[in-house]
Amino acid sequence: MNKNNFFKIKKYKKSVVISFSENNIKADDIYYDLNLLVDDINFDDNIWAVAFDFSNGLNIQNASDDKFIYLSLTELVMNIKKPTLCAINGQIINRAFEFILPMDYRICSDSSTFVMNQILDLNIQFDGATQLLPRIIGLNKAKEMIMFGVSMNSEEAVNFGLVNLVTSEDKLMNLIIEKLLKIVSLSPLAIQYTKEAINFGNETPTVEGMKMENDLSSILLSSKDRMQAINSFKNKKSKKDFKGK
Amino acid sequence: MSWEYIKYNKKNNLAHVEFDNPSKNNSFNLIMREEIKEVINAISVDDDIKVLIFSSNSENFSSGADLSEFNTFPSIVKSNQIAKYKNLWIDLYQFEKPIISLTKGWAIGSGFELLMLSDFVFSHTSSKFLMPEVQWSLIPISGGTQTFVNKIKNLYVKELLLFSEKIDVYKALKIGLINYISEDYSELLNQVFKYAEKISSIDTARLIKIKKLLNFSTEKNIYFGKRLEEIYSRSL
Repeated sequence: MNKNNFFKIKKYKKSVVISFSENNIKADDIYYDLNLLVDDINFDDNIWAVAFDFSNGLNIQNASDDKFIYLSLTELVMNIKKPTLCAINGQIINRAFEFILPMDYRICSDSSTFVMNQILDLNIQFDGATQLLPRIIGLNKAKEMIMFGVSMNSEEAVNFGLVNLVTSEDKLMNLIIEKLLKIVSLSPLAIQYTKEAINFGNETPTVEGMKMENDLSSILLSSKDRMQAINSFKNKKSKKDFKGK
Repeated sequence: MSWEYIKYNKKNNLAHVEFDNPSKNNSFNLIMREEIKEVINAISVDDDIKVLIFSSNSENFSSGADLSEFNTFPSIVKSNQIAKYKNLWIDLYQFEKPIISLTKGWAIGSGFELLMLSDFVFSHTSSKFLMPEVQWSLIPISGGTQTFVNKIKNLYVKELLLFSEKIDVYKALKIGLINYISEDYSELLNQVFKYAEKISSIDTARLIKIKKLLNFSTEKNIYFGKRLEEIYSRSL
């Protein structure tokens, strides 16, 4: 794994927990490190899942230099093939809000709030919010948040499907680690392919997506994990020791 | 005509397919899938029939794919061809008449995905739902990665498919996976038939068009859907 200046990386069983070394960061500062980190995650066979730890809050500023302003952080997160989880706390605003949207599983503390007020600054979102947020919380609510800067508290966030779970601040990290351990106990290849099929399906006609699902399933037929899992089913053994191969 | 793994009844304008493979919890083996395919092809050209109902005549709705048939494929290419071009689930997605499913006990894997291909789901409170694929190093093969997102929010889709946690009937109702629940199965069955009869009072051409339009609303191309809406309404 490459050395990074802006991230703290803790290894857990078959997974990594990533936090930012500062709470207030500039998008252009982390872009190149994040790009390398995404490659590391994708090509490291021993990393099956990733959790981002924003339990101390998260604040991302636009690049100060116009040349770098449109560097997309969310595209980098969307490129992560492994499942991405995140623990959220505090006020999540603008770029930070956009940054969490491509992640697969989100938990927030009960004091968290979410807001996008770029429109009030005579600006519009440019890192995916207009495309991602309606897909997550529905068009009406997304318009309310993006066009009028209406904020959302943790209770609304769980009701609108912006986060999967709400918990107290002190339980936040334990809960995300619990979920992380759960997901790495399952077949990593199957999870990656399922994630790929779901994301592809969001953008394609259903029948084409169903055929793609079949293709991915056929690729999995040749994996050792699948052979072994089906054999253990046939021999009525419940223990499965996945290798990711 | 009789079938090995299903029972088929035609009453008035309703077609009722009951899964009948109790010793294997109604898992969909190859023959059973062929039988369902044959029946729905017949129903789709039967002008008398307006609504299709799926239910189980044993304890569980369906435990999904028959895993004992897995790893018996002749070759990966052959298996892929069969999965893609003899695909019951694509036929069901494209089935033009309304489908109602009635569940009790477990609906697992393909059994759960079948509900996503149904237009209405009535569930007994004993119903439990699970997508177990990633526990067995599989991915869904009955459209689950594509069809769940048409019914429920994206985040829940990933929760169900990536974490493989079972959900009960109350959560399923809350997040929009199913339409109605009841503690009384026979009462529920009555309700399904009443509901189906109500739908079948609508003109078939109109039913087919409205179902197609609603499904198009999930097809990511809103302008095409809108245009089709206009064409269809003009042709009525």
